[in-house]
Amino acid sequence: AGLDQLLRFQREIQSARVQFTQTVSSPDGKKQRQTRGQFEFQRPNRFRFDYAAPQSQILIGDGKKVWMIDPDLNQASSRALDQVFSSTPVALLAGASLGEAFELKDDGQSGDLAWVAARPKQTDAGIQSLRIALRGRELAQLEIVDGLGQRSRMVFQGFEANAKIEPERLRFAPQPGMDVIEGQ
Amino acid sequence: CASPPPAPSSGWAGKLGYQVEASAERRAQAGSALFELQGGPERGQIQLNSPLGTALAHAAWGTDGVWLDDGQGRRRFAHLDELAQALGDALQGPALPLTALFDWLEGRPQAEHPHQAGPDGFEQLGWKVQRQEQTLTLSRPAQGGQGAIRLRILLTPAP
Repeated sequence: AGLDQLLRFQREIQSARVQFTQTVSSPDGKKQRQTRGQFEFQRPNRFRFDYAAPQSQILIGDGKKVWMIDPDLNQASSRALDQVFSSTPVALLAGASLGEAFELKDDGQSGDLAWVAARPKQTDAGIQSLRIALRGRELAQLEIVDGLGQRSRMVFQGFEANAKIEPERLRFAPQPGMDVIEGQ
Repeated sequence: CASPPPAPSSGWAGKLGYQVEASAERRAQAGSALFELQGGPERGQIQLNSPLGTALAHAAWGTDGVWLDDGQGRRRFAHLDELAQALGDALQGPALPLTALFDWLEGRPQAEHPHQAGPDGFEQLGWKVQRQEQTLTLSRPAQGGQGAIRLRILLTPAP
């Protein structure tokens, strides 16, 4: 079930805008931090994250590079698209196919959510495990356990399938006085 | 494992941004991370997270050693300066002046080393240190083949 729905998500959803709540828990579960934000994407490989405070970070994948923009520091830096994908698995969902970077398999159903387990093919991808939940053909949740055993759960709300995304939202334009540092 | 970390009350948290100018050996670098720092040079711990929430590194130091976990397994270091370089690598940025940072965060020079007072801060260990309200700015000119560095720490109330 999950895999079929994931394939539908990749075929039928060419763009989307969705709100998310991200809860990051320490490996022992004692410490938790929550952040809200918005995720937009346009296939084949453009996306944007707007993280609210305290992160207050903007991440733009313009198809060639990924821009990390920090309004607090008034600083932006770019990296090649493939360098960043491991630290932003959700960005992979905006990509052409998850199958290249992950081994995918059905991982059960819970309520109206169908789960897919994704194991990174690249061992040093900084991710221990990734699970994706879909509600029908829409992205519902994401669970990531990173290299240090920290658990990050993203719950998506208000999924706007095939939303119209203004092209300039998926392009980086520096703010006045912003320090811009190109590519590492 | 290192001795239990000190009470969380003695600590700092916030966002750390770095910029390293290009040099003959390396392109310019920049990035940021969220951090939580507790304790002092003798005993303490630091957590570094990427702006997107993924853990970059966790390090603890105390009577039984200096330990770092950066997702490549737990490693031990001889002293804090070596750890400082490994933390910089975890950030994909410069080594953090960890030993002196505790005093500098308080806006004062380290007692053990000479310093030179200036109009808007002081200089110590090759760094210019400026603390204004909730921002600590550390700048170091290019040296040893590495470009000039600017570290900015924006403090938020400790968690």
